Amino acid sequence: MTGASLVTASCQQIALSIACGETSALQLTREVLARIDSLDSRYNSFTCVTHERALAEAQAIDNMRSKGAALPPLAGVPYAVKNLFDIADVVTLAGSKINASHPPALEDALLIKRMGEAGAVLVGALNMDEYAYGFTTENSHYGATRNPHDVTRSAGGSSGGCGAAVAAGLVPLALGSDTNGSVRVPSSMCGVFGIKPTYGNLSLEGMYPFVHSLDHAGIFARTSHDLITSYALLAGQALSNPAPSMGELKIAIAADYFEQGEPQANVAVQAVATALNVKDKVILPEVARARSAAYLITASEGANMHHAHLRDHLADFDPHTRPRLIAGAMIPADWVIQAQRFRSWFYQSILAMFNEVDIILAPATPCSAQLLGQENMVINGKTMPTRPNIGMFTQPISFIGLPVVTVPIQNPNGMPIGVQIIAAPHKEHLALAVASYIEALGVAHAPVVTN
Amino acid sequence: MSKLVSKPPSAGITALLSSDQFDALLSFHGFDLNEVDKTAVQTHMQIISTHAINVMSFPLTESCEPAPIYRP
Repeated sequence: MTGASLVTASCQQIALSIACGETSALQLTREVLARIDSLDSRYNSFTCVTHERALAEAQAIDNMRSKGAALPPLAGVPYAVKNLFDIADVVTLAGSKINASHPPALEDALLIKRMGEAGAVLVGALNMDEYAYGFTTENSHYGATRNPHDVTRSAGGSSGGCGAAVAAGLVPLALGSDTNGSVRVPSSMCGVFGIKPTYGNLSLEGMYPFVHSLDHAGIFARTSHDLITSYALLAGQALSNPAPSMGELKIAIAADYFEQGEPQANVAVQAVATALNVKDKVILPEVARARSAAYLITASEGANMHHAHLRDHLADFDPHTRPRLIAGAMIPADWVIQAQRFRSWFYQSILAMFNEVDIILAPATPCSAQLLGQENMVINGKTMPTRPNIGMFTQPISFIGLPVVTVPIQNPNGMPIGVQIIAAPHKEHLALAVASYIEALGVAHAPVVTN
Repeated sequence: MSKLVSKPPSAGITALLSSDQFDALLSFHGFDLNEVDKTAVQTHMQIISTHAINVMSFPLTESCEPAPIYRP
């Protein structure tokens, strides 16, 4: 595989082609950078393209190969990161105007270091909601990221730049973060694969925080294989059993609360369930309350993170973020402590459910991508504000740190939507195996989209 | 084990406050009244109140401790 097709290939295909000498890392990187420079004005997914660094990293890979050295597993694979990751010599914006006045980062975030050790080539930083507080990546400072499937629609958020860049074939892989759904929502809306692992399984070192007790790092890709490979490298551990037999797994559909989405969301879950021959349903207890508790903790901890700037530089905040943070700053401590106590109860209750099932299927979002600027949406006949409610199916899951792989279900006549494959803590390999199986059947896939 | 049932907070928390009282609340938290979009803040406080009612009305046992913040 060479030429233009390789630019939009998977990580696996790119690494193989470079290892075989079919193309050089430098040549591929030049083509990737040219593609970003040419196409990203449509999507506004990048806030910074690291041309010089990318070319230098690619040259280093070619030097290794010319010396006959063994190449690392992602040698020459281009990738990008949400702009809350520290990149040496680049200012870590975290989607904000305020942080633009900060000095450049002194060193890379730990996950970028691990990607570098694996031979991957960093090509830039990606757009996001300010301070990761949002689900639409309509950033007032750096512009909205547009969905490659339909540029009048949101890419989701807060890691919207990640979802759009991967869907548009600008990079095969991106690193993002997920506090309440910020990997899973843009994965769903941009029609790509995403993983939000167990809380704590991927290091947050060198990533600008949003809500310490809920923040996760995550990965976007166009194939489940690329998720499996990159997750294992970033977690620093081989997956213990990446391919269990589907017949060995007890899988159930999340019912009740998770059936409140638009018909498309339920159809997508049913498509996955049918492919897996799953008919059983489970009802997770007190899910709505779990979402509420996640909402309170997020609002309060997020506001606390920015309290000093809210007092001194209020006008510099994004108008979408500003009132949410102020409201969050005035939440009584009693409510937040109760939310954390409920979190313990909910965690134990859900852990007990995993004695009966291995995998739970649920929609990632209640609907597909909304129009940019759409303030309200209608879900199941109810009109509700768009921004706070897109994460209604993701928030209760990340609230207790469960690992989730989002698989994309394409819609030939419309927008894609994602399905969450949820596993017990530290059972990422089971969710990844189900995602891989679903992809092999052709039920989930993530083609490159350029509109 | 006995259960503690918290009294839920009032819905419409901002409706309970006069304009002057809401200004006082914002000032108490250190915000510049001239820069705050009070209507937008009240909208979000209303959403938060609804979630708070959900959380505070749940009967937790006394032994249920706050979730620890854990790191790898």
